[in-house]
This record gives sequence, C-alpha cells and structure tokens, in this order.
Amino acid sequence: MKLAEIHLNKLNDWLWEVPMTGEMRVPARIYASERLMHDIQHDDSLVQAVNVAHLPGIVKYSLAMPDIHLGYGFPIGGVAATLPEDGGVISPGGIGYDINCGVRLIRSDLTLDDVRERLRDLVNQIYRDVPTGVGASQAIPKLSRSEMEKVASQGSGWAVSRGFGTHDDLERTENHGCIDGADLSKVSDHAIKRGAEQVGTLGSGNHFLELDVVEQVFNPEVAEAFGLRKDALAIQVHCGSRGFGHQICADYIRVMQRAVEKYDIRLPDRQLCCAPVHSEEGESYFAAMACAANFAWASRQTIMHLALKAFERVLARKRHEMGLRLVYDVCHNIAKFEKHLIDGREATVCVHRKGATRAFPAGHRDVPEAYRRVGQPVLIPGDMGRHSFVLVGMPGAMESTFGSSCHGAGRTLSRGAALREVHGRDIARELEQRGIIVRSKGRKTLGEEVSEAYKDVADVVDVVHNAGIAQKVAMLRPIAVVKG
Amino acid sequence: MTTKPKYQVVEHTADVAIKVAADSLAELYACAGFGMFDLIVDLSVVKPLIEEHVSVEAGDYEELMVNWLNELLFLFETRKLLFCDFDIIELDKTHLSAVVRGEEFSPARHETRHDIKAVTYYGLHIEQEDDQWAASVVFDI
Repeated sequence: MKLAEIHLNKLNDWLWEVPMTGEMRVPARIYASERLMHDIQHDDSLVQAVNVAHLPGIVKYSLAMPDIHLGYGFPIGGVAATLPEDGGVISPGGIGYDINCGVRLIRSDLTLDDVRERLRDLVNQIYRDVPTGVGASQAIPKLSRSEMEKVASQGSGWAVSRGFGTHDDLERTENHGCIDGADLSKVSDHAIKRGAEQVGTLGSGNHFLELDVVEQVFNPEVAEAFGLRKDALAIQVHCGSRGFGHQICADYIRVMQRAVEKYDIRLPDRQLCCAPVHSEEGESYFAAMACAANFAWASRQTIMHLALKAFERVLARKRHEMGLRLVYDVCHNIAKFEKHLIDGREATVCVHRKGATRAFPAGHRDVPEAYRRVGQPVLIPGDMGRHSFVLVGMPGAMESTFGSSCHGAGRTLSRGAALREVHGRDIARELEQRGIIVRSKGRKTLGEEVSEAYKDVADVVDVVHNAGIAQKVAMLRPIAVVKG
Repeated sequence: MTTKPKYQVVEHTADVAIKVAADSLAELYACAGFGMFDLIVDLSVVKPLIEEHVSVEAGDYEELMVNWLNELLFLFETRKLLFCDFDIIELDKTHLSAVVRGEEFSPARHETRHDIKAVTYYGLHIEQEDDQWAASVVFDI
C-alpha cells in the first residue's frame, strides 16, 4: 500500500485509525494531534504501521505512538501484540537492531549551585570514564566467554555482583534488569565477539548521557514518590546493547528469511520477517534477544556506576551523601510476554515495542513496590538541548496500548536535511550559550542531532497525557550532554 | 579490479540510505562496501595497507548484499579495520568471496561520521536494467 492510498479516520483529538483493507488482519491506530499527524504524513511511517497489521496472530490493532517516524519494517514508535496460541509471530524487526535500547534516570539531592563551579570538570570526568563514539570499547576489561554467559543470563544483576550498583537498583529497573529465558548457545560467535568489549559503552548516534535539572513538577505527589524535587540535579543515560544486539538481530533476520518460506508467511515488507512464537526459530530468537536485553541492562548499570564514580571523584562526596539513586530504567526496543485483556479475557501476548515505552499503571504487579501506589515511571528523553519528561503509566495504557507509551521526540528531518539546516552554525557553541555543556566525539553528530531535526517532545508528551496513556510528572532541563 | 566508487546518499528520516549503481554485479557489491565505509569515515584518507579475505553465503542477491555488508561491519567493530578497496573474486547468487584492503581505524586520523548498527532489508532490491545494476541499501544508525 502506498501513502496516498491510506484512508485515515480521525476517532478523536488524539487518535486516528486506518481501517482494515486488503490482507490487513487488524486496523492500524495512531496516537497523534492534528499537527503531529501533518508531520507524520511526510514520510512512509503510516505505510509501515499498516504493514505491521499483516503479521500473523496480531491482535486488536497495529499501534503507533505520537513519536512515530520512518523505520525499517516496523515504524519507530510502533507497538504490536501477537497471540502465540493463535499462531502469533515474533518479528526481530519489531524489536530492532538495538535490542533493549532504553533510558535510565538517576535522581539526586544536589542543586545546580552545588556543582556549578565543578560542572565542567564533572562533565569532562564522565566523558573520560564512559567510552563514547563509533566503535567505543573497553569501559571495563574485555569479557571472557564465561563472563559473557553471566552478563547474558543475569543482566543488571551481573553488574551488581561486580560491585557496580546495589540490589535497590535492580528493584527499580524494568523486569529487575533481567529477562528470563536467555540462552547464549542461541547467540553467534560474531555477536559475542562484538559484545565482549562493549559493556559500559555509550556508542554513538542519538545515544547520550545527560545532566539535567528538574525544572518543573506537574504532579507533586508522584514526583515525590519518584524522588524528584524541583531544581534538583538528575542524570539520564540513553543507550542499548551495542554490537552484541545489532549482530543478534542481523543473524536472526537471516534465520527468519528462511522461516517465512517454511511457515508460508506472506508479508508486504521483507524486513518484517518473523516466525511463530512457538517454533524453533521463534523460541531461539527470543532466547537470543533476552541475552541482548540483559546485556543492555548490565551495560546501563555499569555506565551509571562509572558516572556516579565520576561524581564522587570530582565532588569528593560519597554517592549516598549526594542522594544519587536510580529512579528507574526502561527499555523501548523489546518483545515481552505480558498478560493483557483480549476480547474480554486475560491472555498472554507477545508485545513488540519498537521505540515505545512500557507504561504500567498504579497497582500493576510488575511496577516496583516503591511505586506501585502511583504507577511506573515512564522516561521520555527530549532531543539534544530540549527538555525531557518523566511521566507515570495510566490505566488507559492497559485498555488501549498494551501498556505502552511514546519513547522520545521522534525525528522529523533526515540526518542529511538536519546537516543542511545547520550548515555554517557552531552547534556546540549555541548550546553553550544556552547553558548546556556538550562533549562529543563526532562533529557531525551534533549537527544531525540538532533540535530542529526532531518533533517537539512536549507535543508528543501532550498526546499521551491527553489520551490517558501516561500522565506528566516532571520536566527536566539539560545542563550538560555527553554524546558519541 | 579497482573500483570507481559510485554511490549517493538517499534521504531517510531516522536512518541513512545509499543508492549504488554499477556496470556489473561484482562492482555493485564493491560500490556498496565503499559506500558503507564512506558513511563511517571519510575514505579519502584511508589507505589500502592491510588485506583480508571475506566470504559470505546467502539465499539470493539481496540477502548476499546484507550478509556481505554485515560481515564487513563485523570486521570493523571487532578488529577496528576500515576498508577502502574491494575486489570481488567469486560471485553467484548464493556466494560471494572478496579480497578487501584498508587500514586500522585511528581516531586521531579518521574522523567518524556515522555509527552504523546494521544493514537492513528495507526497500532493498537489486535490479538490472540493460547493462546497469542498481541497489538501495538502508542502514540502521
């Protein structure tokens, strides 16, 4: 189907539907305001949302969050749940190459005044200690295969066992930082080789480590539960499973190319290739994907430890004296088995989130005990230089989006267009003038990641807030960014 | 065979795509290899000092393209090798072997452009028209 052939119905101010046509198995539903929908139609992302609706065993809707933009196979911002008992499939493209790309937020009792004089030293120290950029490696010594086994099976728990954090950190991480069912024998030697030197590295592209100030609190009760106070300093980490996950996805896309022939699955886009969840190929992929998800959690836990060590060194205080503690860690590229209501009965479905964040409401058993009264923190980083948001999951997410929300701003300009836009401008200097210190390996990255290349995250967040999926809790303003 | 690079960058909202065109299928794969590494660093400053043999298998030409480029990416990430010269020695629908030349990545000399995560199948078609071969490749970055 081409973009021009898509018939779009507006259901309410925040929700649109593409009805079922042709071989679509379910309708596609897109969360967006009128203005965002205008932008969304600039590329083929709606076609991709329609393509996802062709997956065998997909239930209810092919969903897209307001930060939807063109991906490959799935749109970025896509959510799809399949019913394994009904031949439902798992599609590596529905998780993406950067398996368990995610965000971690750390709170503190510090204010900007407490660090102002040492801020530049602090950022430089973090930049030295957390490897960034293309091919970044060796944040910690290269891991042996047996150590990689532990990373893959224990996730964040491996990092904690190495002294890179506490059990409280695990409590405040989605899935406790570990998905069950990981099996390194399902992972290629290529992937293990790529991953062995990359635990604790940020990588490049849109990944970052950022220092923020809590600029505004929308919901004081929930913010208090999350430990976020106005004017306090916070740290955000955004990264994933690096070459380990990229290779696993590439390997299994190859496996799935055979599987679609074997199981006679017809798809409009080869990148959507998949296999039934309950098949040898589907089960092997899940076991390998879990290894990468756990690797990413181990990595973000390690990065947090390196960053907190930099704080301790530069400010000469212990982390607990500064109130530095994990708020939460969420993944936004993942497949999970979760219980949701399908046709009035609870069923286990395989939820694919490709650039979408879990957003479970108050009372859900998978929300950490410390937050169960208020709901799960939903972390939405803005683009470089703009605000980020902390939200909390709402009951509407369980009713309409398989407990999912948006994951970020969402690009609107290609990287090439962004570079043309910033031609002749010194982005690092512009950010410094706005009070944001930047450290980056690649000069080009800054141009490509410039604010103008993204939708305004505030518009994206307003949609999920108004649609009752996740509610605004606090807004963070960046004061320093470390990028690849 | 030395390749005369022919690739152009195509706009894609989130990722980066290239279009390659060549007089032969072998040259098409060589150009795609060049295009990918030129996205990672400026290849004009990379010298063909080290030689490696690369061999990949696949089910068809498209898959062969994805596997070929992913294999080169693997060599870059695990051994920090940048390649600028690609000789395709053997090529049929299911197999490609090549001699590739380049040098070790040196952050001081090679300014990086993009961190390519993987090579995707999105919109990938290898087409022949008269004596010309063409392909578009979308990279996840």
